[in-house]
Order: sequence, then structure tokens, then C-alpha cells
Amino acid sequence: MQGIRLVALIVTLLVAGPPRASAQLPDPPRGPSSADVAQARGAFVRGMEHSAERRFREARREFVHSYSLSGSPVALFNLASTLQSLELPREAAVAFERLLADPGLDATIRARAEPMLAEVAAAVARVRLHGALEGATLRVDGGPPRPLLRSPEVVVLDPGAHGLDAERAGADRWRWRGTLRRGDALDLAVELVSARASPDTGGVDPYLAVGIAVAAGVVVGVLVGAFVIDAEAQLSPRTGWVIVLP
Amino acid sequence: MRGLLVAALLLGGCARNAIFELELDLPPDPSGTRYAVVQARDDADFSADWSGVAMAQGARLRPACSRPEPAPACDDRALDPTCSGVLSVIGDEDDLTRPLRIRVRFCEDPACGAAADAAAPETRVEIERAFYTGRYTQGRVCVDAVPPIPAGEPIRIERCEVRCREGDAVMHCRADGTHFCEPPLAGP
Repeated sequence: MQGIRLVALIVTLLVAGPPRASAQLPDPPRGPSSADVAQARGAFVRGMEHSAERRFREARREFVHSYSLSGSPVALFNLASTLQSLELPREAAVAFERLLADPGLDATIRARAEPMLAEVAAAVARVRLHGALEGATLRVDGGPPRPLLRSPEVVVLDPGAHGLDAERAGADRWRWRGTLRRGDALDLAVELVSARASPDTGGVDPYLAVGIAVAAGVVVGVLVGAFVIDAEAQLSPRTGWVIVLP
Repeated sequence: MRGLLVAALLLGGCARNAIFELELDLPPDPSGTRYAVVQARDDADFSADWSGVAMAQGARLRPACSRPEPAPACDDRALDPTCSGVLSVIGDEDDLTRPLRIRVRFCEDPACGAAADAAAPETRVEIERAFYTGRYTQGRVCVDAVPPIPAGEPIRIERCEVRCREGDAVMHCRADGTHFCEPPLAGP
């Protein structure tokens, strides 16, 4: 059952996620040369050193480089783990998913990656868009438009500040700006209205804007409370190899 | 739904509030058949019965590790990810001041369930103080070869050798003796 749920989450991540350049993993090489492998090894070691010093952005760069040269599953695992450390669970999930799709993956790596995938899959935020979405397109964080096919449409995002902009036929528009936290599930009503109807609110009906603001306030209040409780008490293991003392 | 989330956080509040991360550099095993199986406890020493003690799934040892000869000092080496692992030991308020003891057993079975594993070689580690409330801490142990039987003296990690994010690279205690993971002593 857990496996089914995990697969469902993965499918959601891959299908519903917004296209973002930073979320792209490099393709592994088909037949890396020995020179590439040697270069990849150097990048890998540098990545490990950065990671040991918690310079995760630099570690990410090196692991991406190492993986693009070698296609090594170990480099991909470390990249995924680094993305998790950078609190980019959506990108981490994509990397873990690619890693686990390899049927020849070492059993030890698989055993470590599976719970980490489950963890990052649980850490992403999901926004469900409701309304008459047919024929509309959505931009996430100013990215390229993608068609909205059905209601509700699920958008999977990393925690943080985001902007959603929906548009139909270049005239009817809707926009949302907000900040999401780990594991958030937010439902938004998308009402596409003429951009000329209410320029002061970015085309959104004023009553709808007030309603969204009130709802957002409630959500933010609850999330702040949850954060305070969480920050005081909870640490999550950052590795997949775990012992819990009784 | 949101209320359930908050409730879940409240219920889970005190369960996991300190994590010690042990970096383990593991030895090669030319046969490639052994696993490193780790147990941890802080309620008894190594002479106690460890059956039933919390155990992490075994990590298979590799036939060879890319480790230079001679191997650099443990704290200086770049760990080969195929021959190393980072174990997270999760503790809570009750575990803060008790020494943490860890066994790394080199077993034929990933859960040390094989008959031969009853006398498997092992490395023992004792951390004077591993946990600080709300903090991740780190320590490192390098096992360059599968140890002989019987197990030798435990590798001891002193309190000030346990790292935390703000710690100095060598010494992780302040001049007043407090650890970087805890507040300094109040001034006069």
C-alpha cells in the first residue's frame, strides 16, 4: 500500500510539476570515456568536500557535473541528497525517482534512497487549482506557459515564495502570490476574469480578492503556529540510515 | 485537515529533538559478502546483552575502496561514498547526557541473523556526549580493516570532538568548556 502511495506521489511529481530549468537533471552519458570518468571523479570528490563543509550549492554544482560526465548512480544519489539538504524536495524527488528507476541499482543504495524519496515527496507543497480551467495556461514563477487540462489541477512546488499566473486567450487572467511551507496543501479557486475588468487588482474580482486574502490569512496563521511547534521539537534525519533510540 | 496536521505535530513534539550523525568510513571486504550492521544505545555499556537493541539496516561492504595508501587521518580524508555511510541516531531529552554506545558489526547477514554472525567481528564506539536539544551533531569513525575478534577497546569520541554547525574545525568547545551546541556560561 505504501508502495502504491509512493508511486502515486511520484507520478504526481513528474506529471504535475512545473517545468523549470533548475529542475532539469542532465542526461547521463551513453558511454563515458575514461577521461570523462576521471574528470567526474574529481568533481565528485570536490562535491563531497563541499558537502562535508555544508556548502551545498557548490556540492550540487559538482555532483551535477560528475553525474553528467559519468552517469554514476552514486553521483546521482549524492545530487539528490544535496538537493534535499538545499530544501528543494521537488528536484530531489525527481533525482531520487530517476535513481530508483534503474533496475540494476545497488541494493544498499536503493534501500537508502527509497525512504529519502518518501521523505522529499512528503515535503513538497501542493497547490490544487479549481475552476473552469479548460483552455487556460499557467505560468509558475514566470516560467513558460503550460496548458491547464482539468480541475483540479495539481501544481507541485518546493517550499518558498511562488507566483502563479493563469491566462486564457490572452485576455482572461488570474494571479496568486504567496509563500508555501513543507507539506502544504493549498486549494485555490481560479476565476479567470477579463484583465480590463479590474486593473487595480490585476484582473481579479475584488470580492474574490478579499476572500482569498482572508483564506490566506487563516492558512498563514495556522502555518505559523505549526512552524513554531515544529521548530521547537522536530528534527528530521538527513540521511537514510537511521537508528531511533527507544 | 490542517487541524490534523497541527495535532500530528503536537503529538510528535518530543519524539525527535536531537540527531547525532556518525560518518562511518567502512573497510573493504575482498569477498564482498559482509555487511556493516550498526546498533546504538545509551542505557547500558558493551558488556550488556545487545540482542533486541535498535539496529540499522546493514550496508554491504565493497570489495575495494578508493582509499590512498597510507590513508590520511580520519578527519582529513574525503570519504568514498561507496565505502562510507552517515548514520543518523535520533535521540530526545532523555538521551542528552548519557554516553552513546555504538556497535558496528561486520556480518554475513544484513540483520546479523546468520549463525556465523553470533561471533561477528565488530568495532565499538563510545561518544561521551552526542546529543544537544534541537541540534544536529556529527562525529566520524574510520574503520580501515575488518577488526579482529574479540572486539578491542571502544573508539572514544570526547565531548569536544563532537561537531555541530557553529563549531571550530578542531575543537568544538569554547574556552569556558561549554560546547558550541549549548549556550556559553553566563558572565560574572
